Amino acid sequence: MSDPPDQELIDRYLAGDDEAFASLARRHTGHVYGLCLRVLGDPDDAADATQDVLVTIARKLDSFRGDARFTTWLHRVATNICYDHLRAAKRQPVVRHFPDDEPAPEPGPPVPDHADDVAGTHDVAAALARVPEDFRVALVLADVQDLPYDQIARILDVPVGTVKSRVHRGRLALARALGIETSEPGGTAPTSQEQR
Amino acid sequence: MNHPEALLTDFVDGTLSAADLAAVEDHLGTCGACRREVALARAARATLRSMPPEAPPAGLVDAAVAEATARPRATNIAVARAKRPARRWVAVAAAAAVIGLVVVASPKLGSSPSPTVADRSAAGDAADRSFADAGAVEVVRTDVSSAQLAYVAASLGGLQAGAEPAPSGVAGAETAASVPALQPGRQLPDRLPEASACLEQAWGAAPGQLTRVILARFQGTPAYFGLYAVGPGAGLPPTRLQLLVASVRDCRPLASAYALL
Repeated sequence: MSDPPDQELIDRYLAGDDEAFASLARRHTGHVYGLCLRVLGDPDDAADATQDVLVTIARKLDSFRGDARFTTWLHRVATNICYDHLRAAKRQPVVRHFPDDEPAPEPGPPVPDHADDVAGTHDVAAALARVPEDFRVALVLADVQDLPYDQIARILDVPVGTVKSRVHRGRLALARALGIETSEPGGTAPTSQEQR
Repeated sequence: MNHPEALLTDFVDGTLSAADLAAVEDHLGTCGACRREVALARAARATLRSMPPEAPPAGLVDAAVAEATARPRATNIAVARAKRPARRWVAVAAAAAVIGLVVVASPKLGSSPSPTVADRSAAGDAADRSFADAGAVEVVRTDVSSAQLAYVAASLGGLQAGAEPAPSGVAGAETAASVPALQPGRQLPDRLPEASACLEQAWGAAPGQLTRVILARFQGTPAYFGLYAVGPGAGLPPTRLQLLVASVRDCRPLASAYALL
């Protein structure tokens, strides 16, 4: 027997079946936690935020309209809650964040275009924490959650071009935070204004 | 060509159209800054996508589900009705002179409780039997059995049967205390057109004025419960409340019941 679609679980939950919500939560908690972990940078914060997301969707499922995909709505709720957590904490994510008065380590020797083996997970998480918020959120939705740009645009309520711009800038910021250099000669950054 | 930032994102992803790909490659042939950006973005993308997913802490889902689904529940119709905000037409309907209840299970349902007059109450002023149109799908977190349907029909109409003991001789009927709570929950105005269409798909044209739509479960199946005020027409007041039940998933007819006003 195949798993019931999200909408069926939602209807069952709205009709009083709490186990249907538990199934829905089990199906999506990994994605929500992954988003929160990479955006917030701290496992405890991510767990708190994930719990907030699940409680929020349980209370607001009746306002979810079937004209949007559930995953889009879920990611929108999750993204907003992550922003709330970032604002509430009034701080940057804490994963091995370099204090402002302490220079970041010198980047390693230049490497070619392939950085897969350059950094461990923890180093990547630390570098991600240094990417500006809006870029980081778009980047996580694209390259961690693997969502298409048009869906990210609906989640963030911005044009697709803005999403692509943020993702590109997020990637550049992450590469620089990771200390990645390329064999290409340096040049002036081609654009400085986020596309709107 | 200016620096094509948005196209560079797609270029790094490998999702450019052939025409855009040629244009970007032409640009990259002459622009070292963009070549460098592409190299950096590719490296960052590959790094991020190679990160293994991290599982949420054990117990997180259970704790969140427990918190998310914790809510007070009413225990029976009498309690639920005491908490329910008064509706104008409920008081009117409750004053109806004679209440009769008949349960008719859908042929597709398989089980068929005997049609039975279920209750009668004291006479009252039945002059005004106007009903309000349904304004939203009302979420009621409960599961209704076939045997309970008569009480539900009466209760939804604000009639007395649901709060009374089961009359003797009603085959399969349950007492009011065992009928699930009908505590009204959230209102879904956006779902009303879909629910109304679903009921009509299951049962054909609406038999009367649709006055309430409930989303609950019927014998475990998510279902719309449509309550119609049905009259003889010609501007005469309704004479009965018809409850039609249709499955949410495929708009099958599940059961019906009615309460005479």
